[in-house]
Amino acid sequence: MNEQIADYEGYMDPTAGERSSKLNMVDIFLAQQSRLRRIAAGMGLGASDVEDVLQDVSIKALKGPANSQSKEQSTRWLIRVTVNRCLREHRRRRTFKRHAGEILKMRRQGDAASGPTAEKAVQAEELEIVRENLQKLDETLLPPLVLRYFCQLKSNEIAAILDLPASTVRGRLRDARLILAKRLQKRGLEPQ
Amino acid sequence: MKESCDNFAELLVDYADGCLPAEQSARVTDHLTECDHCRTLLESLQKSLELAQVIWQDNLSKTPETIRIPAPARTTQRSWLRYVAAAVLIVSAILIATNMLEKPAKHQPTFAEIEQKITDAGNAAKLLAAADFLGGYANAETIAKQQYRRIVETYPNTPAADKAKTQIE
Ligand SMILES: [Zn+2]
Repeated sequence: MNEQIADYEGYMDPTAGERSSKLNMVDIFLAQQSRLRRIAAGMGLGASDVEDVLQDVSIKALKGPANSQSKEQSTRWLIRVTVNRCLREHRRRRTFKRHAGEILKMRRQGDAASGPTAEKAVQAEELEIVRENLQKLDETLLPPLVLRYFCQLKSNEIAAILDLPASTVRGRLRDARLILAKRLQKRGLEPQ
Repeated sequence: MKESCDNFAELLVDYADGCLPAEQSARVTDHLTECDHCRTLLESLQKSLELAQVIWQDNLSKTPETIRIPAPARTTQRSWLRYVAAAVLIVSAILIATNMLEKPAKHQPTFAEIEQKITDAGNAAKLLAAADFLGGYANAETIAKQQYRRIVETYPNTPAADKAKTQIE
């Protein structure tokens, strides 16, 4: 076993020649790691699932895409792989596990200057509504929403990543935003 | 009135994001001054996004900043272990099946023979996994071919050798 590893390591030695495209993929992965982590967190995965997903994606990066591509294409490929991998977890598990109360508690601990208790109670209820609806959001809507509003990507970039027409992405973003807004609004109108 | 509000709902998202062309933006602003319904919707659009960002940020804060990237060697080792496990299962299944089908067998393999076969199959599978891995690298094809040949020569009666043959032919 060890001699195989030695062969492999010898091959991967940058001094042995030009750096391979696989190594470049790993470099791209490292450069994009915080964004990929943001995507996984935005899709509601728990800490250990985020780590599992990123580990898997790093292995995929090591193996590389089927054909060698430009840096932009490789980056898109990595993001797409991450989104798809997150969707698999999202389908399997309960996502966005931390409830509004806990989120606010953590925020209060991190932020001494907080508002009056009554305001917090309202916020907790609204936060919980949004959390539940993010959890329930259709899987065609969640990735564009996260990429646009948590990763600050433009809709045409998202379209290229998800391999969809830009108009479809814009439509999905609108749908997702309106669903979250209307459900928040609806609950606000319901008698307590 | 209702219908026009429905039309505005779509525009409101872009309006909230500040990415409507000036002309349309002015139209929405005009409508908002006289429509409570759309004003409330706009507020909800803004609020729900802010709350979503709180949730995302909270979830992000729980995740580790960096992950351990499996070293190439570790990845290889892992896939070897998978191949070994698979090979052991396959070989055991074949041996059990042949034992069951041929009850009055001419030659019952001894435990030592079974063990040797499993070890050979495992070793061959490890080499095969390594060769496949190397084969994925441009310029490493020659090394990969050497490995395939070694598998065929050293462990001729293994499933991995059969696969290796297809790679050199
Ligand atoms: Zn209106």
